[in-house]
Amino acid sequence: MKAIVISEKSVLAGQVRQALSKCPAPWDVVPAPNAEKALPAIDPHSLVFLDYDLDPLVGRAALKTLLTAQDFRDVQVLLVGERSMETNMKDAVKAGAAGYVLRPLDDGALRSRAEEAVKPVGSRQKLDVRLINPFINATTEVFKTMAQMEVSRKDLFLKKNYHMFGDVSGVMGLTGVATGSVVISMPGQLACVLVGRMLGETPQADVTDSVRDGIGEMVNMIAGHAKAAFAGSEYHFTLSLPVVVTGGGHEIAHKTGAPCIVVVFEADGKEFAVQVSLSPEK
Amino acid sequence: MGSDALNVGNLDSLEKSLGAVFERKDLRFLVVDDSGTMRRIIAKCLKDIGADTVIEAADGIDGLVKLKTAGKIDVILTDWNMPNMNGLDFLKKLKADAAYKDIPVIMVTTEAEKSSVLEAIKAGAKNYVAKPFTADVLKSRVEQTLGISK
Repeated sequence: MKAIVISEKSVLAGQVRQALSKCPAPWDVVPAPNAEKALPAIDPHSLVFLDYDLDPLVGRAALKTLLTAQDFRDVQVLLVGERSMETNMKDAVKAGAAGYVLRPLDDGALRSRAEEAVKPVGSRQKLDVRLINPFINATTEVFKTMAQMEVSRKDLFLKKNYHMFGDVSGVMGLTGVATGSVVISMPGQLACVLVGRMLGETPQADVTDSVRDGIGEMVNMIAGHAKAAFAGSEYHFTLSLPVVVTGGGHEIAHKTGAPCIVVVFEADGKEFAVQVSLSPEK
Repeated sequence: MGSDALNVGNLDSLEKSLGAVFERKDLRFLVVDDSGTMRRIIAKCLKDIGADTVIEAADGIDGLVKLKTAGKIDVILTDWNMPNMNGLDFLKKLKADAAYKDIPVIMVTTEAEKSSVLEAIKAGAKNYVAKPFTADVLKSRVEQTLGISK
């Protein structure tokens, strides 16, 4: 595992290195003086420690830089700060940070927060990776048939938290024998292009109600198309009505506590993600 | 006369195509779907096959309201998964009403499982289109339902 420690002072990297040295799995700890300089070292699944004893505006800008640059990858950002900064850090968690650790640092607390941050959510439940294939096929088919857009698969991983990413997300709750949700998230620009292609019209410049409606219909079709593959199985589900969420950093609470599989695709030169969390019949 | 001369077979097909053009006039549709995007996609396909009027409704209840003032409707296309009144309940209401029971209904839906298709057909749907669909598939199902041959 790789931990990137962003702080103007080198002492934090030393403390993190010492705390993580007691973990069973080895950690590679890389110091960086600021978010911009850290970006080249961040791989898709790194854990980032961000020294948050900063001017709140500077701290928020650094967090935004880190979250924006990760696109649809699962980089987790843990904040480190004095108790006097706790309100700011709570706000930052709402904006997408994975959590925070208070100074003075305790090796055990820091280690357990780090291990918790990189552990996939829902890991207490069994994961059947076969359940993702119908959703991959459905996504490819729906884009091709309804918008004449080819998609390619870029990545697949288990998510570490339920934070959604992207500017626009279409959410479909799944109930019945199996329960969970499927979410499609994408940048606003891709959402506009996609809905424009579906309608055979020039894409809108901004995410309007019409674009939101189109993304809702996309997730409806993806979930519906995938549903047929689960007929008669422990993963059979019923569709609810789609909901569309806009704005970054919002969080979806999957009530099932099931693992969340993320597939990153590319269409029209832009990445988008489909997240599936489905808990089978108990 | 050259080799392009019309023979009996050509005349038959000409008659058929003229008939088709004639039948395609004054076609009126009701499209019921809670997604405005989907209603617009379907309406565009219908205009391509000569629809004069496409009335839109956002759910089954809205569909029943619109039908009251719609006048003649040749085909109803309805989604399944909708708020307030879903497509299957809407279909059952239509089939139970003497004024609407003869209007052919096409289900245009993501519910693509065989059991769902059978349920809709049993409830009186004339045809079925699974989302996602191409414009050609939708057009051909509508033409099939209207009895129009190409």
